[in-house]
Amino acid sequence: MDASVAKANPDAGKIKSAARSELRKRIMGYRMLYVMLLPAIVFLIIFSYIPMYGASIAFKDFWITKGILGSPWVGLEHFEKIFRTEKFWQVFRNTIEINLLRLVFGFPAPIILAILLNEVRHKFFKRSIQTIIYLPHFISWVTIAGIIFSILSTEGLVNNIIVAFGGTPINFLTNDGMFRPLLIISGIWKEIGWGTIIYMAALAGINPDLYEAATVDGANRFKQVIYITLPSLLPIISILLILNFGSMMNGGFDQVFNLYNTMVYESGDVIDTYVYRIGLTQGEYSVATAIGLLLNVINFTLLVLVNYTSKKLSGQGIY
Amino acid sequence: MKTTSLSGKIFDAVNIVFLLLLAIVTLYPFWHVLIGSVLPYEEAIKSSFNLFPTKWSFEAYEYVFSKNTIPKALLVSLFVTVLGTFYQLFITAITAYPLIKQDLPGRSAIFLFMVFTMFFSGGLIPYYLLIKNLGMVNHLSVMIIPAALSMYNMIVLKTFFQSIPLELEESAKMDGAGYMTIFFRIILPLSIPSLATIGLFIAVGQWNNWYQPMLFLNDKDQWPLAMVLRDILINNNTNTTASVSAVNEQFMLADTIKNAIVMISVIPIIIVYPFIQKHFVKGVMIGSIKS
Repeated sequence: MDASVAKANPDAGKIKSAARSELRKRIMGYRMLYVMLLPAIVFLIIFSYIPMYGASIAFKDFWITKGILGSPWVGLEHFEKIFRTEKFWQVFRNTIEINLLRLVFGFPAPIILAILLNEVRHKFFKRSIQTIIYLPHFISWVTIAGIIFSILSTEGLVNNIIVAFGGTPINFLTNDGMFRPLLIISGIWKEIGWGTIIYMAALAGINPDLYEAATVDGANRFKQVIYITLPSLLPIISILLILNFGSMMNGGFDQVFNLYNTMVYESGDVIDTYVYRIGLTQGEYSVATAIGLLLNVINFTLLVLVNYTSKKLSGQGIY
Repeated sequence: MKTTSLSGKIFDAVNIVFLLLLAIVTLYPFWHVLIGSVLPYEEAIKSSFNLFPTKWSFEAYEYVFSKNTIPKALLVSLFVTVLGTFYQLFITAITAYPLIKQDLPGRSAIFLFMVFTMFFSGGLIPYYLLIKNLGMVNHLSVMIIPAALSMYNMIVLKTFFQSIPLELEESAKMDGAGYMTIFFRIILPLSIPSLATIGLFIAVGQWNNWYQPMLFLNDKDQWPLAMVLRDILINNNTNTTASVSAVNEQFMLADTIKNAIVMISVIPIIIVYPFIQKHFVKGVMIGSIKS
């Protein structure tokens, strides 16, 4: 803005220098604010940006004794090795498939629940239900794994019921075919309530006159949901969907890592847990970093692409 | 919106029943573990489906507290939670405040610099190597120092700060107060409810933190409760693969003890939960609408 004004003006030089001294005055006036921002900036440089630089070991033959700078460059060698590894493609497929399942079942769940909650007229009942269903969000996956083991293990609640009815116990936790449903269901159980909050906020903002007008026009409640409630949720749905694509390569480390075991690797091992194992238990730092970098780049690219497309199509975007 | 049609009434009834079921499904697992932790051994072997136990005992809790591990882990968790929360809250607040000044030169560049870290990171291994190089491995500080700032909390707090009337700040500036004074004397005291909310969020995160100790703390004496719980669960869980058919006393005891430890990690959260719950809906709403 300032620059274009300055160009058009014959006294450009004067105005420019005046603007500059004004800017300097503002910076000086605000210097205390910069001091306050300093800890966060230093912190982010150390704990976020230095590791980004450290990711360069994906292109090096990294030796702990030589350090990042001293280790020799090897170009794309590690990536070539990764692409030739059968196991990598397995965890890659697993991650995508599990995330697609999460998208299909987990993503709509809070939207539907929010709409159902919104239809409840009894204030106290509604608030009580909300209070209860938000709770699991605050419990860690370690604790939830403990609860799940206590319910689903061979001596657990469900198997006791099966045995009581004359059945044979099912080993839910070591059954490869049951692991994905376990991930999806436990994920929905933990986050469905919390997920509604953002939609409830959007629903609270709908003008009640719209519903009144629809009632006058003879629209029943189902029609009101289709024509008023859902469209008003659409902007927030598309934003969350875009963010969702930005974590398409994240397997949900906390959940998988606390629930899985060697018996379910085939269907449940994801990129994050794979990176952890080959990096920190097998010590293949460079290969693990290369995979980590790869998934970060894919995530970021997906986020940008989906955001771009969404902006083109509907005008909705996260930036 | 009010319809009294028959189909509307049926829908309402089905809806309420469904939501009640959902609430039960949400709460029952906790109840199951609670009952499992106070059941005496003789009752526990009969069946694991006890909605309301007729007999109960605290032997599992007594056992847990008679050993050294859990009380020590509780102390570590408490220490890390209290110290970590104040530290993180302070950094979050002092970062959020300058960013509400729309005309701060470089503001959007700084904000971008910060938000970028939400969407891109160097990955696990470079982070691990960094912590190692900083000499924080096997040092309790690793649970506190690296967790200085959550962007999400910062953005929510920034939105809270923005709702404070500017006039208060202007009049303080007239009296010659600097930004540091304004921040500590005006902004912080006026934001106590929101600081408490964010603080409780941070505290829950710290209490639940098992990831950092798993990566960086090898010494069991330094483990917080969440990590001890994980260790016990994972070691015990290998039993399920072996499929123990004969129920022996030791195994059942181990089960009630596991349940007791799960309860010990859940109870503090349930205690603070009502306090967070009061505020977080508003906080998350504001934060989400803004971003």
